[in-house]
Amino acid sequence: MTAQVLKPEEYFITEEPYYEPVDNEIEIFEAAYTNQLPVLLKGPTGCGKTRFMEHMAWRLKRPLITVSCHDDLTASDLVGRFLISGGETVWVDGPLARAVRAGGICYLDEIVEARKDTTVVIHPLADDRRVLPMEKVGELLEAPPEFCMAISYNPGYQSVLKDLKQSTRQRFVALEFDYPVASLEARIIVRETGIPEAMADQLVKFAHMTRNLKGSGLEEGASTRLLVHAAKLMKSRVNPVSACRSSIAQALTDDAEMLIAVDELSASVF
Amino acid sequence: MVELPTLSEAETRDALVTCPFGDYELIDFGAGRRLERWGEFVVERPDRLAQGDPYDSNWEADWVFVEGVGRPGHWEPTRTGLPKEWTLTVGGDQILHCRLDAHGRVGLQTREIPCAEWIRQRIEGCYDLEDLRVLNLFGGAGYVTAQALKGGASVVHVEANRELIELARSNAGIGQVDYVQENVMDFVEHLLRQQQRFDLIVLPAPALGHGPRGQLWDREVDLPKLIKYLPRLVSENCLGVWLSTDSGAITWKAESLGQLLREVLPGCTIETLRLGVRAPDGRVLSAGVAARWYDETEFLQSGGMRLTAAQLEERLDTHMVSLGAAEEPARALAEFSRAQQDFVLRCVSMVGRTSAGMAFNFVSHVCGALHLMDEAGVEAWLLHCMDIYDTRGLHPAVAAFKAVESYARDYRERASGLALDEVVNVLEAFVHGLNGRRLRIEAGEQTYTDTETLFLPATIGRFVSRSENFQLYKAMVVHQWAQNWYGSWRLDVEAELESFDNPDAALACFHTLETLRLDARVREALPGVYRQMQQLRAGEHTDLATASWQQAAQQLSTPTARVQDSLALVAGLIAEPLPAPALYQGMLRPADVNRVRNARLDADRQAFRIGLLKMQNEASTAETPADDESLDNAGAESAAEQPEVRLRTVESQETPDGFSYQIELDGRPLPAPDNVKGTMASILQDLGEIPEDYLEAAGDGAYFAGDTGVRSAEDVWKGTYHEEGAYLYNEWDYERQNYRKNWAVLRELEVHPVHDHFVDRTLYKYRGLAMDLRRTFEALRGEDKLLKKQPYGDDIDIDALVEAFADTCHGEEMTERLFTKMHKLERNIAVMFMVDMSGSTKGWINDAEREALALLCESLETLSDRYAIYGFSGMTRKRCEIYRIKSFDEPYSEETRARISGIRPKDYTRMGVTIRHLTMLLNEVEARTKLLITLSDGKPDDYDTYRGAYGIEDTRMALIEAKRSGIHPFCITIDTEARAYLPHMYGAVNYAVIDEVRKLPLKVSDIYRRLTT
Repeated sequence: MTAQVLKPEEYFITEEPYYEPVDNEIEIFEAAYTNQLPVLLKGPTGCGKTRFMEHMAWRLKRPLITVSCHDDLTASDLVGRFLISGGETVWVDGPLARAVRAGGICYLDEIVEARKDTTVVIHPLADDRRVLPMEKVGELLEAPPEFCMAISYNPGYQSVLKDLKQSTRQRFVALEFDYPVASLEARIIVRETGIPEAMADQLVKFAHMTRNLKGSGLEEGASTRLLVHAAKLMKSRVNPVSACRSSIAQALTDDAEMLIAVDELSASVF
Repeated sequence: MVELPTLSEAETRDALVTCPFGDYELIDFGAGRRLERWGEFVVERPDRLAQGDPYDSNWEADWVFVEGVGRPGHWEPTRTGLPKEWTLTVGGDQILHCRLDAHGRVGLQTREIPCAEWIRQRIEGCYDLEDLRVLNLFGGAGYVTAQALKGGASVVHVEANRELIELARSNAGIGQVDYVQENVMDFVEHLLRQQQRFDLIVLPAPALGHGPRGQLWDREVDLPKLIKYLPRLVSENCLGVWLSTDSGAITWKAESLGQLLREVLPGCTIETLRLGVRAPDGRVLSAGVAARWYDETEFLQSGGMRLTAAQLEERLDTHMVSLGAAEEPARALAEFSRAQQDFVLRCVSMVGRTSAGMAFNFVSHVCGALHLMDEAGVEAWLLHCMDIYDTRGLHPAVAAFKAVESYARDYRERASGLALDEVVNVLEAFVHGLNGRRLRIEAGEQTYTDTETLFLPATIGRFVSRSENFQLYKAMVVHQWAQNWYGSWRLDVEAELESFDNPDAALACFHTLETLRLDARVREALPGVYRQMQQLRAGEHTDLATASWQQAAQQLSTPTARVQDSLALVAGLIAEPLPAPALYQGMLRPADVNRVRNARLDADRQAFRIGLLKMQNEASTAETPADDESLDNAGAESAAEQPEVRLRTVESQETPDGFSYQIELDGRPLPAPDNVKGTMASILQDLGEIPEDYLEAAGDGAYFAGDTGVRSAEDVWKGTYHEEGAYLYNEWDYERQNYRKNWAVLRELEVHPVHDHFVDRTLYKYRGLAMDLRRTFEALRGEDKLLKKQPYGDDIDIDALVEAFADTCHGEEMTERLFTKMHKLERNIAVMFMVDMSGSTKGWINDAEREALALLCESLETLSDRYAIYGFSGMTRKRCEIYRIKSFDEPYSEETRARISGIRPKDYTRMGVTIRHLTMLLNEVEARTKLLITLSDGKPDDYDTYRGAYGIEDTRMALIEAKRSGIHPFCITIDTEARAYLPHMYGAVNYAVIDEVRKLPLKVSDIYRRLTT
């Protein structure tokens, strides 16, 4: 078995990624895309932001270039840099430049994690100029109409340091994501994992209990992603309570008393 | 002549040997004989003191000593082949040799046992064992000698009888001991001539005796003489003298022995004892009398002998309000072991420092408590009472002391069962996770809910295993939650059941029906819990007795069953026998529910109406671009042009009935703010719907009627003696080794700003220094720096590369340092300055502090470190004050400067609570490094008991707490004596002492710079 090697701009999604629209987010994204507007996805972790992007890339038939931001991400990591090859310097495009050249969708995940100076390089791309200045080579890369820029962030982090600057956020069309309503969430779990519907319902019920605890002991409730993980374990015949403990409770907290409480909640549901 | 106080007979105590003592046992005695078991063999011999009749007339001894008339007695074996010598073990590890001798002796004398015990305790309680010398006169078979040696002393063992000396040698060994076979009187005179002195002297005087050369010992003549020699025999730090004798004649009572000792060795404690051995039937065989002399003050630390009632009373009296109060408790306490007595004395002195009244109540009840609990339990009980005293005063605390029995019961239960305290966090999180209104969990006498709080027993010990007890807690929580969530209280149950002849029976019947209904709902919603609840009931008889009950259960188990259905069934079933209650169901208290529920309904209605009004106002102002004026009288106008509010039912899985409401304004859905949503959910949970009249938006009056619930700290303080609006902090009591709960009351106030250009003047005064500081601090500022020629980095250093190429062309080695790297010197520091505003800073210390702060702020502004400055002062625990000079998120402004100028000396320094509060504030800030810097002029000190060790220990504990949460404390002080206590509080390197107040302004910034680079 060999892993396929692809250049990011050649990575087209050919099979439809499963996505259940919660509201009219697909229409809004499409409208933003046709109007060449960048998009900001807000929402808690694991509620389907990345899946939504994959789905839209498939729908719009554009390559999806995802950059997971971290606090050491520099502007040259995005735009590109000189490397040396055979005694000469060679310019190598960064993911952002590649996406612009290929007219792909560039998705900067968790943008707030990146350094403040890094986020500024996306500004010219994200307004009506739609250009990427590449100072080091003295070029200006103009984005084709197919190029699309999307960023995501989780407003749930209550840290003042992890906030998105107004100058950045005001360039984007914002889509708010949240966990789907119970029936839809159960449907998603069934569809993703194939567990019986009744079990999915119970799982969602349990998820709501953990979300009730947000702010009083838990930082976040169980996300849809975690539910899918738990459901997959259950599908592989793991006892539901243990599945919830390993894939949900332990992921949510390290606090011993909270773990017991979450365990007791899952034990009450199943 | 000075008359010495006489010893009274009442003072004399019994010192009894209880049998079996190792392998030795007194089996029986009477009619002038005693029957004993010495290891394997039973021995019968004569004893003058064995008065009365024996318990058993058929004695079966192995050896019997027969006294001869006019000739020596002899030993008669009752069977052949019995040895005359053997060994036995006593006192755990002492092997004793027995030898039947011609005088009817076996070896050990029973009076030696208490003596040896005391001697060994005296020796072991002594710290300095170097050359501790014991003189054992009339040493006998050497048991006392052996014990003294085991304690670590050296012994001079004097005995006239050669056989006994040999026996002693085999019992005690030959190390560290001189065996002297000599007449006691002669030897003592020899010792006096040699000026030898001893740390312990043992003198068990026989009535008559003979020296090796026929010298006669006559107690009546020789003992008083020997005792007169004692002052010249005892060493300077003598640990004690033991004097005992067979109480043959009337003259030799314990008191007379004591009196003799007192005459020659006054000034120390003399204890008089009646020695004896207790036979199995309870009678006591006397073993003579004794008096012992020792310095008791030193003995207190180490002793192990029980204290007498009088001694106890004397000690207790120092902690009592009135003399004589301790008499009765002391008598009761005299019965306890020395360890327990010491424990009580320790506790009393601890309590006594807090309150003499508490101390009295403690000693009055402690004996009962000691009977009921172990020492750990008594200590927990005492702390519990002290907590009550701290929070509620003496009377409730006395009640708690009196309730020792119920406390002991709880304590035992807690030891075996599960305490609510241990699991309350888990249970609370658990019930928060379930749907609905936030429910608190509290310990209560009964298990019930008032719809906002769940009351659970403080401990559950019903099951053996903790997990089962926990499951029972959980079942109780779920049942009570279900009452709230599935609407048991949607009706006024109290009113509904009033019509019954017997409302109590009706309530019980209703509760049983509701339990059936709720169990059915739980089974459907929380099947896991339901299974566990069933398991808990496994042992119970859960079958429903009659057909009508079964029918009712059937009816109530449908998902649509409501509380009304349960209520309707009551009339039909009240006459039927009630099924057994589920052990988790607790009870219903409709009156409590009504009180809480009605208050909440009112509050919710009000809040809902206000919420609606706000929403309407917002909606209408958003529609019509309003100017400022219309905003101000929005309340008045809105009444006229209020858009119509309607509620539309929408499906929702978040409510018990499966529906919720969407607020619509003129037909358009309006997103409700979270607080309105919350109120709506609460109303729905209470009523199942939102009644029409709730939609009439509140008028002006109501709008402002709502109590904002926020009061400024100062207002509260101005008013009554209130703890409202204040922060409560625990305080560490090192004597209790425990926290006093919510002990210190702290308020955050603001410094009154003084606009007098103090800061400007200071900056001018120190303008040279200020410039210097700015320069040094600028150098610290975190800046991006492009580092060239790095071995790895973000980008290629083209210059380095060109150079390297040139080098390679030259044939030199190519360097690897070809990259550039951005290096950010990031300062991520939050610093909290805690400034002493106590009265002692008055004058130039205060000036120096203010100047230091002024310069510091300038420096910190250059650095852009986050910082906050708070002053602290206060008087007593009820009035700790903290003065905000600059908070973290506040910019350094003119106002801040005026506040620095306005720092004035106030009262005292209660540091612990301040540190705890500032720790809390500092922890709210996110920073890699957090510093808490104290500017102080002395030790923690407050008006009440907060001084000395108490203050230092509490401060230290507060600092430890701060360190634990990741804060680095540091102290800058001008108290030159601070080196004595600061290392203990802050640690060896975390403080700086500034010798001259003058230098404070210069130094503080400098120290800060050193700290943070």
